[in-house]
Amino acid sequence: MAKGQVKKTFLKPLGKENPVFVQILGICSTLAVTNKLENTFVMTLGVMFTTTLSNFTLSLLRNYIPSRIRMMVETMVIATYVIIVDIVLRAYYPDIWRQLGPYVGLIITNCIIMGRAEAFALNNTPGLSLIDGLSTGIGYAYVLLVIAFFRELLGTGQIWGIQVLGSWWTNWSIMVMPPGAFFMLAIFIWIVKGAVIKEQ
Amino acid sequence: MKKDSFFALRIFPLIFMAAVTIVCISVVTGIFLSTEDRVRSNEQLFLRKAVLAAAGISFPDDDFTEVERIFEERISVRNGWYAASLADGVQGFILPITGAGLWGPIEMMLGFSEDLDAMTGISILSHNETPGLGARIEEPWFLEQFRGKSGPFEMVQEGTAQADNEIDGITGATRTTVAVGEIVNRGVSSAPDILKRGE
Repeated sequence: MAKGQVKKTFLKPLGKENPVFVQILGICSTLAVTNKLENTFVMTLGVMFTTTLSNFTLSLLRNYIPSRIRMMVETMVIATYVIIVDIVLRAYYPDIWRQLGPYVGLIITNCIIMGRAEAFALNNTPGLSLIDGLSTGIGYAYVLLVIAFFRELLGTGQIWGIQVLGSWWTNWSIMVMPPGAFFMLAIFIWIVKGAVIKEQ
Repeated sequence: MKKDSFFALRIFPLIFMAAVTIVCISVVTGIFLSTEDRVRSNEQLFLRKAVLAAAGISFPDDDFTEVERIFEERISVRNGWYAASLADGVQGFILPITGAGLWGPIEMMLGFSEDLDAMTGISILSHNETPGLGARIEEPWFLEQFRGKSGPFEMVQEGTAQADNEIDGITGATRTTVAVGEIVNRGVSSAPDILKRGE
């Protein structure tokens, strides 16, 4: 495994090929779970875990999976990891599990994970796939955490549940409601695409 | 094995899928079974804390065995509700109730004093309200307001509650607040009937 390739694989999903703000994938969860930083953090850990291990597992199996049923196998493997996340949260972090509700289960349908399995894991070695899965998870996580940071701050005056803005601050209720997610995501994409990644 | 033989096209995928399914299900089942007890005791602890909170009995939030001990000592389970022995020998009643919130059902525990004329507290078991807005019904300052007051309640603007039956609502979560008020009021009016059955 060439070192340059590892680095390239790792860096791509963080910037130029970011799943959220470049490929515009996984938007449903970006909108749904970003109104509290703590919940977002747990959610992104779950996605990171799933996308890393499902990429790795599917890459191990890639030479044996009959191509006609590859999507069934992908879904099965992804679902297995997601259910593991769900069970572990439920057993060890019941409060967070209660707050995230159905969203953990919905990681299964996150198109980023299936997308990486199809586009990367089936054509690359397990080691590279693992790195790709991990960095895709990180690329997803940091975007969500930035959005959640601003939504929680503007919407409730808090960061990670701790009050940081004084009583002079009027909460922007819209920020913690679904429309606030659209605004924040659009602003985020606008800034990144306008200032950081210039269109060719 | 030829790439396009009958076996490769029709049979092998079936066997492969079955094998993957069996492996995946075994893993998930194993993890589920190994955490089952823990999950169950989490749920029981959560329920017991909710009952104690509604009865107005204080408990240490993070001490599992202490919560269990207090519950065993003070609460007895009846037919669909709970009886609590409050301070100085007075009895209290705790009833579960469910009603419509803004996005989904809200499950609560309502605590009443012996003659049903005042509330000892309320607690929330589950809800689907908006985090940061409606979900603030879980915050202690909101729930504490019901303690010692008697229904039917009227939900008023945040910071303006004065009369004995007025409760501060939550700004930005009017409909959730009103829903909670309605559920509690329904509980207040149906409590005598529920308590009659299964004494």
